[in-house]
Amino acid sequence: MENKIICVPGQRLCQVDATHTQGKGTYKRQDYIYSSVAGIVNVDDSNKISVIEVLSKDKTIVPAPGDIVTAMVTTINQDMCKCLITSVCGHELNETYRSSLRKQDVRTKEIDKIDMLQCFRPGDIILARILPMTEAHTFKLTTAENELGVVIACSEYGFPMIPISWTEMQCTKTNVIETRKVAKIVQEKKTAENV
Amino acid sequence: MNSIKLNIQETYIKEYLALQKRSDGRGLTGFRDASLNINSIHTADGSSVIKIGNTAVVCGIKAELGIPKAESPDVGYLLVNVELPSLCYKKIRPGIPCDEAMETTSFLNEVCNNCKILDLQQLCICVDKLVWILSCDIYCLNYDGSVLDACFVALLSALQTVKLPEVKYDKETDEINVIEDYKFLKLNCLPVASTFGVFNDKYILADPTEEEEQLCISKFSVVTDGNLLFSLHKPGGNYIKDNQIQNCVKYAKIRAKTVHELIKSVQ
Amino acid sequence: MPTNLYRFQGPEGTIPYQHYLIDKNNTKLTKIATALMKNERCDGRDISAHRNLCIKTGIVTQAKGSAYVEKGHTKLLCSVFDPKEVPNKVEYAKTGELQCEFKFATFSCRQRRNYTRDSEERQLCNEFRRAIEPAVCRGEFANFEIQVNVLVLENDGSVLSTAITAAGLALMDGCIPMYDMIVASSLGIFKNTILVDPTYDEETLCLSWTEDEENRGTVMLAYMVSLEQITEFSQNGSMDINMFPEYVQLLIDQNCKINKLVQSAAITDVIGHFESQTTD
Repeated sequence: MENKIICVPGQRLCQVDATHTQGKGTYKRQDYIYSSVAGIVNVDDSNKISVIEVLSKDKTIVPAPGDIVTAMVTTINQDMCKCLITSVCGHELNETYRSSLRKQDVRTKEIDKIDMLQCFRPGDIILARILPMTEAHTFKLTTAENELGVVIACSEYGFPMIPISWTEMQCTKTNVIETRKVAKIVQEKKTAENV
Repeated sequence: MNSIKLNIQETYIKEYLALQKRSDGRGLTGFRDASLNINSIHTADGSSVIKIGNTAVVCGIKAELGIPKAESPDVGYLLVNVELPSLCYKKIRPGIPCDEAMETTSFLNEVCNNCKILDLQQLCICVDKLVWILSCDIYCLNYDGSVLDACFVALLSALQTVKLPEVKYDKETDEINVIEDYKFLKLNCLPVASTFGVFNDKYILADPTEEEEQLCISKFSVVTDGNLLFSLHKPGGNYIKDNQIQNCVKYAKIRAKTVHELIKSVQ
Repeated sequence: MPTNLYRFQGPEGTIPYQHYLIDKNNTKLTKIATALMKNERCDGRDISAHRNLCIKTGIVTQAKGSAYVEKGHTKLLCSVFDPKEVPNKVEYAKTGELQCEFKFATFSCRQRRNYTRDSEERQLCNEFRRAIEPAVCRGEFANFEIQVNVLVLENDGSVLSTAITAAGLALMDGCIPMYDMIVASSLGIFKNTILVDPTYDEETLCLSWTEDEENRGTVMLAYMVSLEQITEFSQNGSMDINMFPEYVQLLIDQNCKINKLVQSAAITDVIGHFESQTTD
């Protein structure tokens, strides 16, 4: 605790120049970096430019375009499914945000052959990326990447399922095979999502 | 809490309960520690702040003069209202009171009437003309489960701090004179509520926190003063067995005693 | 009076018994006035002295951030919540909104207050929102709203300035990005005496009407100390225009003093959190 700098909102931290840039928990005003939250100042020197950031006890994060989010499927129809975003970039949210996933954003190939019901079911937990905002208040999601799609799902009988291919998952109890748009889980992400 | 988190919480709590323990270190039938503070609000005629665990509730009483009801001209008013303002819990939106606030309000009023917590005749100054109106407002400041229990303690301890001046009423001239000779109210009994949550049919959790209340399908409350049972309220939900209720009444009785001691200790 | 279906209410036309102790109330004000002529205050404070502040953060565990502030007998609680979706919203906004609620508990004032929001609460709520809005980095949660709630438990003067200070602390505690901490203080002006941080009785005295055209009223100023920016200035009553620079300077000085307390509270909050984290 000793040799750490504690800062409060509005505290001037350092000047912006070629070697210093602003990180999380800070804002820039007239060539200076100021802190925007109360916390401990941290300087990230891992790259060429040192990033000045403030580590606070909690974060205020809202989903933004480009973020990878965890969402739960709530309703499905022929053209789209509605989801609730529950965490952003590995940070768990206290509030849930509404979002929707349209049919054409499910995968990259054979878009016209997609049947929404063959890809998702209500209750599935998916990884998705937020598309740029087109509408005022709902986030648009996409799973058109190999790493995105269903990560946790239960079969019709209510038992957890494990992925067996990129379109199928198998129930651990009844061995029933159901179809899903399965995410290809990269090892690193797996540990992050299983917390 | 979102559903994914809820799912994780449930498995987590199940593992704890299998060891007969709860996530905050209490046993299944353990109640949280309470602390009480009275007369902290100077603008009220009587007030108290109670904290049970993290749940915090403040009760303030304002005494006013008014005309009694025509059908009962010799009794005063004891009006109890529970407010769950939007600041105490994220699920409450500002605006009209939520269902839970109204439910708690009517339950409190019902119990207060049933067990004659206060002789309303002592609030009468002049029959058919002038009575005392005691407005007891209970504000929840931090909603962390078992708010009903805290409301009861807050109401009782606040009522015990109320001092009313002597009022002289002249029938002919309608003149009101207030003499600064303050007297305490006389309470008949001290009902104490104890809330229990039912988790997975099997486990009965005393004094559940907000997190546990979310996971418990049903909860029920026992109101007792240590000797008499005033109310046993179990609104639907999961079934519980006969002997489980018997046990809970026993725990509630012991709880009532400790709460009485707490109220006594601050006076 | 409209009937309220949601609460148990007594008969109409109730009178607080203190009303009949009116002689006492009147003499109280004249007593304060005569004492002030001798530059004395009823609670023994110096005219330029601020009441003691008691600050506690993180009191409401169910909220994202909260602060309880006690200034003399004035007690209030402020809590903030996570950004939420704005219900029934059609347009897209580049900045987030602050949804404020300013509520007096029914027993917080001399006269019992009603449950429904009255015009005073609405006015205070608007002033409160305007004062804290510039301090919050609203661009970081575009299109969402953050709820900021204030509940006054006891009103003994300078409620609005206390509420603004509390809100700054609550936002800090909730880690909502802010450009600067925000603090506020108020003055009461009675004749040529300037009272720092007036109590309820002093406020009543400063706002009471008299026939002679003298300086009287209250001023309140919300300030961001590090950025040296004024976010809200409000004035009531009638006062000499030439005195304003002095009032503003005095308020800024007071705010700097309060800011020191607020900052040390913020630092203890951070230390407390990180120390408990390392011991875990």
